Amino acid sequence: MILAIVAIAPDARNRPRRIRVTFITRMQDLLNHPMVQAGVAPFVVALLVAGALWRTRLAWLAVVAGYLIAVSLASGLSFEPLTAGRKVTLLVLLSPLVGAVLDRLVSPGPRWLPWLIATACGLSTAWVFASVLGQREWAPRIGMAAGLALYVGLHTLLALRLRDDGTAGGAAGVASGLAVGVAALLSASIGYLVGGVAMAAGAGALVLLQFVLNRGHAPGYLGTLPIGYGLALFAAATSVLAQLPWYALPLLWVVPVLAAWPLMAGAVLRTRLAAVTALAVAGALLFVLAAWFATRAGSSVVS
Amino acid sequence: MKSTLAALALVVPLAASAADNYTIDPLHAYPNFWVEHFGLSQMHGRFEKMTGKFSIDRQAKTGAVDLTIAAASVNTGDGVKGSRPQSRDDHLRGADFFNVAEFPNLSFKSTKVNFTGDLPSSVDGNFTMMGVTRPVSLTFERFKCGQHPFTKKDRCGGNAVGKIKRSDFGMKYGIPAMGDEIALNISFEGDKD
Repeated sequence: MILAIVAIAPDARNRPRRIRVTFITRMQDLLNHPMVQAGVAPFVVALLVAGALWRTRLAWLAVVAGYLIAVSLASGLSFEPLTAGRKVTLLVLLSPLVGAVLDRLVSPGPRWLPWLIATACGLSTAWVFASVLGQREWAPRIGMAAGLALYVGLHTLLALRLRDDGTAGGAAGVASGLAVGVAALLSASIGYLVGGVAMAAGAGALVLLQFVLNRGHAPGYLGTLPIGYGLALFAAATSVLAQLPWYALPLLWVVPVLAAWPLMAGAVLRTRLAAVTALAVAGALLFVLAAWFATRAGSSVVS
Repeated sequence: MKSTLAALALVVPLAASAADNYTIDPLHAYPNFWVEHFGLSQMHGRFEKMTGKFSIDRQAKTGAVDLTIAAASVNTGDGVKGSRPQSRDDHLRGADFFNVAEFPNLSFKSTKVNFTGDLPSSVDGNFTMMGVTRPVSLTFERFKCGQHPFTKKDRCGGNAVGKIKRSDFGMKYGIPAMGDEIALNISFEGDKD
């Protein structure tokens, strides 16, 4: 009897440790899964952040919080050396902070303010993609720089128009994020797939909360800058650094335009939320289809 | 006096030009690599374009190596996308891996060439990839010199091996499923200048 107890006791002592090790291993496997990194984890984190900050003006920080967790899990945060991709990450992470300052200090502000912000965002692409632009001859360099500035600037402006409408902002975030993510997958860039889907998941958390609580929450500059500027940078980077042909990019402008459509303006919030999100996602399909056909055709900025 | 000057004229050029300089023959340059793939097999690939120069001074036991590899020339045998959106080689050229749009070249510049006898045995230097420079050592498994049978030019060649960790250069996508460590095997030949 005593020998049996002695024989069993070490095994019983080791069982909790084995259970801990197995749990840790399974959690690591789960966190290494691409769908968890890009979708599940950002959605959960965004939901928690938005829920905690719901009564404040900072709830839409959840969009970038989701992106931050996705990048941390997928590749880790590093800004050395400061490549074009890392500049994009840096600017996306800084954009809600700039938006929060604008919301606090100047909102609603003069009518020209969104134009000024969009112009600054567009011009920033010259810095972001300087290493690629510098490899081109003068004429193609100026053309490419102008195209990138126009593309990012206009997409930012179209998103900033949604800053007072939580339904439109959330719909645009979900649809644009999914569109950019799928287009990145088609263009051989898993990094921007993760980024796009994570931003979509973050915006989706805000859509879900508005739906469940039956209350809108205006995104302000804090929410619409990451959605407009950040996702435009992802799309531009997918074209410049990966295989997305440039002529597919303008179709992403359709998403914020459709999200701003006064669809079912008199309907209850939940109905309008579902309808506008569905409309925006339908618009996003145009961009995805364009990316599909364009990448199959085989031309890009890179080649 | 004249005979002394003549002797000096003969000695000085020989002392000044003891190093032999070679230019890499791009048609006989094979920068190969392999990396673990899901722990199941090794995935092999190579770069199709490498240029550069090397020099050796057997008397002083010194040398130099300067190589440039075109990143976009990566070839793992999957360059035709077929019905897929992209091929593996397209993915390798993109932002997840070599990011060729931003960093078109990989380079190796030596800091020291080590000799065993009259021949180089290894070379220490700086390897630059994706804008990051790290020290790397390559060991010569073979280094031989002779005369090209057709052109009759003096030629040296061999192959050098080494290892790097791609995460040290910021290429982190797919780790650990796709190995962090990359084994290098660079075969080369060069004609004497």
